[in-house]
Amino acid sequence: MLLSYLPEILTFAAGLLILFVFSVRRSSFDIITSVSFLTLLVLMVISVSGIVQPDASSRLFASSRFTEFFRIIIFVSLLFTFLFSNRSREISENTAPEYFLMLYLFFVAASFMVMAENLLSLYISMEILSLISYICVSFDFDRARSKEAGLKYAIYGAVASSIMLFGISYMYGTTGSLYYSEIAQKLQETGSLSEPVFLMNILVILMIFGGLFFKLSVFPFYAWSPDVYQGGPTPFVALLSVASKAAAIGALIKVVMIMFAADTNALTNGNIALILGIIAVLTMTLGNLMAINQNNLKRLLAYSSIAHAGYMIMALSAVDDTSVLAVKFYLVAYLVMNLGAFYCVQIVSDRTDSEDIENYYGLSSRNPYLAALFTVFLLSLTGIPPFFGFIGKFYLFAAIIHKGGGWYYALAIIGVINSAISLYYYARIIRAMYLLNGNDEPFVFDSVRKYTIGFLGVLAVLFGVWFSPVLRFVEYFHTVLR
Amino acid sequence: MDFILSHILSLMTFLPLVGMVIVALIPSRYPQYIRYFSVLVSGLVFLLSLVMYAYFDRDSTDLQFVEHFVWIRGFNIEYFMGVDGLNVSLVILTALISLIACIASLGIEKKVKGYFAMFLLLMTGMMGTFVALDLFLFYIFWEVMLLPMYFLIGIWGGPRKEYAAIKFFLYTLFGSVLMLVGIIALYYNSEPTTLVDGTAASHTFNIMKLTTENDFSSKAPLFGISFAKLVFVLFFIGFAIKIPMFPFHTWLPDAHVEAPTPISVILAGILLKMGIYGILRINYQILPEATQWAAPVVAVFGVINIVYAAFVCMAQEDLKKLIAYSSVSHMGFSLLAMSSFSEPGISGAVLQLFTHGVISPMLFLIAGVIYDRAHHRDINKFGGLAHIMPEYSAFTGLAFMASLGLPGLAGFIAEVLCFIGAFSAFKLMTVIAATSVVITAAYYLWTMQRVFLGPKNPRYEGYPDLNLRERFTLYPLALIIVILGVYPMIILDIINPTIFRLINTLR
Amino acid sequence: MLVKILFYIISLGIAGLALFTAMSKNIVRSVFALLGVMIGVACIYGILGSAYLAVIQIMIYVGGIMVLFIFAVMFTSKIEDINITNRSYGWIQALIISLAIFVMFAFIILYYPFEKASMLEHQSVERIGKVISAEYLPFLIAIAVILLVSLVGAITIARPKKE
Repeated sequence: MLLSYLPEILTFAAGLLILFVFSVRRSSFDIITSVSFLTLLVLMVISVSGIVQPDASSRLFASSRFTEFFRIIIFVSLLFTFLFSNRSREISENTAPEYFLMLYLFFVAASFMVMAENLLSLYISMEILSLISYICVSFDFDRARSKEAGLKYAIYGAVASSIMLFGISYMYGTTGSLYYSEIAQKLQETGSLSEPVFLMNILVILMIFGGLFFKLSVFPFYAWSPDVYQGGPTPFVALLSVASKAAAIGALIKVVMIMFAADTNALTNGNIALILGIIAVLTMTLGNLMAINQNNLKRLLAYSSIAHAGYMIMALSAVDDTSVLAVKFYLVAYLVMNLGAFYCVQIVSDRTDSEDIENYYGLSSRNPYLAALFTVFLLSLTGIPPFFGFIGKFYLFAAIIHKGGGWYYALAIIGVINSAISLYYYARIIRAMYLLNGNDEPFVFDSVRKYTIGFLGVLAVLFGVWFSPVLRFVEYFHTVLR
Repeated sequence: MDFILSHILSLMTFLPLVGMVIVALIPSRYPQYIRYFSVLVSGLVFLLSLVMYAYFDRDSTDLQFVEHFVWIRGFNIEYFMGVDGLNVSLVILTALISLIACIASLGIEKKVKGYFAMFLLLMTGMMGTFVALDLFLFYIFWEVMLLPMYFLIGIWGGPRKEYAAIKFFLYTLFGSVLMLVGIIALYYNSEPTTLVDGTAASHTFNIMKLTTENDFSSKAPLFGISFAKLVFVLFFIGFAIKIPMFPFHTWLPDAHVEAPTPISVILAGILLKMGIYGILRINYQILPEATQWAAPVVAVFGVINIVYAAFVCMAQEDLKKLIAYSSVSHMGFSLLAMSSFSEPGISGAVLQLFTHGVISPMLFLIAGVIYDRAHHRDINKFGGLAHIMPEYSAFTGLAFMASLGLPGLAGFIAEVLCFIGAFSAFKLMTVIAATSVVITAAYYLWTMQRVFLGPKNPRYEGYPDLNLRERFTLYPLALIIVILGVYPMIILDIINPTIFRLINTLR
Repeated sequence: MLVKILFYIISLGIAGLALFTAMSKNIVRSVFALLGVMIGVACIYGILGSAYLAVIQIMIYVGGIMVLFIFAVMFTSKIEDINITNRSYGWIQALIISLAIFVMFAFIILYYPFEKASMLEHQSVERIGKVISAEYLPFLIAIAVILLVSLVGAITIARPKKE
């Protein structure tokens, strides 16, 4: 049984070891990063090697193919984070061992969050993840903005998780259990409820979702992300926008699909699709509209990532197998393009000390390579073929149109119009880089970063025209949730 | 030769893409090599299109030069290209106009490498859009065009280039995302079929299979509207923006005015044709019942396009804007004629695509010639140019006459066919539309008078007449206009069999 | 009957003290009112027959967290200027949200067909300990991780700035 959780256990141990070794023997940032990177790479290989078998014996957590997928997503985004944390302007060499310990624990918490089979275990693993995030967001100690971001994040997080905890306690009061499957069973046995109670119950479901929505930065818990994204260290914020969302959406898929998916469910009465759909519409519309006027690129990307969470929730609102597959497919695309976009911002801001759009004027002539890659990532985020993001969005829209019916068509149309709106603000950055003129001094950056974003860029184009391997990868991990 | 013939469409589509990669590898300090290499590539593509024209079987109504294999099995996406009467003339037009525009681009001085890379990418997108017969493939090519167009207008354009570029991008993307919903909707409502390699598929993107094996008029309605009608509207908006149809036309004048001359040529000559082509290929074939339901409305919009744009032309002072609006007006002819479902109507609509595709590039080249010399295009500030640039004035006269539909030149045949076709179905509307002929003649002749006639304006004294590059672009177009005016069967021969078949399925 | 009366008295006391906590301008008084709230909640647990929970409540909240609170308040600078320490803002919004939550709770309590839980006869600490160390063992480990993260995080963040 323990073997099933080997990646988490080993990662935990490795994190402590790294902290210990490098606290005793101070080393340069490069060395700490390389050691951490290689260790995590080995751990990832172990976790996909087949030694780790799925386990369904425990009732609090269960590892399966489904959770393995999220394990890999989190592993991969962490590997990129390591590369870009190295020599970052925002993370000092002195605190590198602690920082890497936090990232290792980030994996453990996020992975357990997806594996949770019980509302309380979900809550606890989510709290660990949050705690790590609050700390890492404030890691840029010398800046007031970073501390402010950490504090804001912590306060918002506390509110969201207490709301979630209340929802959980209510659920326990009504069903007498905290296990997803038992709750689902209980809810299907309960007869129909009177109108006001039914409406109240919808609210309570939203409360349970609250914590996950907070992690996903979905309406109504999205307000923290622009401030936190702007204030926090960029490499960690990139991780936050991908891995943290991946873990939350993984957990949300399980909660929705196991607890509320049935039509005979007394609490939702088959209305879960409607709830998620409305949330999705509000999230993507708000995210996109608010991104339009941003001049700070990290804020802009924060709003854009809100919108992207909205797209994923939109697909999930179909609540069926196809939609889960689509969301997972989209996550792979989102990982590639969003990490790429954040790293392009980081490369510029590590040099200019600012994320304002003015720094990007004329970037195409100062560093054509960086400008071209950033353009690829932005267009991919917009969802324009032949880039990977288009295929991802195609799957999302296909998932809800596949479901059929007027509501889903309306949702799809709102979704595509939103994605057309998003072009406006992404194109503003492209305009700044290509159409406007800035100073002409050439812009260089180190080669590790150069090859890393180059690699992401190649993936963003390659998988846009030939996505069969990605599809096979996602389908391989696409089995029943438990 | 066998290899070329069996892969001619892929070659024409992807040769420019290969060219783009090579252009990207040529160091920027050799702009001359980049220029001539790009001309070589587009010349090769044009040559291939001539080969295709020569080998095209004129009697067959089937698809020809088909390339068909499974591309992505997971989603039943096929790589499916082919030509029939609907698109063969447009493929030739694309190759021709691309070559002309490429020659016209030789004068570009700023960021030469980027320009030609984008130009060649645009060629791939345009060619692919016309030959793709799988909806997914079609959509990818359709969208691939947007990006290079955005940069070509945005970087190499006029004073308000940024505004024009983003407006073009947003309008088109807005339309195409609606189209995307339509594509997915068709896919999931299609009947089970087999892919080209014989494997079973639950759904398909194959346009031909969607046409022959599916009847969408019987699907369950959405929002109280029948499924087919809803999907029709989704596709139609996407295409209408590209045509551009009133009230979605406002991006066009901006884009045309700000775009550099060669790009205006491409816009007017090729991009505008995609809307009509898309409607004929997708809406007419896959959703015939909904098409018949929508035809009267489409005809009304066609008439509005024709008359409204013609009146707007009267008020223009910018030569390029005038030509842009005249394009809007001329695309209205196609819209009106094709909603009549008559043989001359649809033949005329398709022929109009070709003739307008030759005439309007010439007009934009002409506007470009004078802009290069005077650096403005204000019609009222010119005068007496006929004395200074006689050769140029002659070509302008020819292009204007062709555009206003003078008998003996290309535009005439197409317009006549359009009116004959439309009259059989919409009598009153055709009469209203026909008044535009007078207005068109009026604004062209008035422009002619203001720019070329009258006393010699000393300000323009000493302007050189056409140079070699301009001759290379204007002579071939003029020649084609004259030949088509006398003998339109060159094009009608290859398009008619398919169109007659299409009409039979519609009735 | 007596239990019921006691229940209502304590509940009213908790509500009053909670209001005082939120509204008092003197932060020290707020903290002590909060202490009262905690003790009141412990009493309610006791009345409802869950002695174990009552003890835990007193141990953790009254004994641990409140002491931390008081220390934190004492260490806060400018504590002597009581008038500026603890203003309350946004009365109207707070009132609306509180009312909404109240209505919701009332609805749920009045209308939802709760099932009556069977009262455990012997709620021995021993049994709870066994459950925690067997079925819920992962949570125990998780709490250890939380402590680790908090410690490392607190030390790192509180480390003095290098100039």
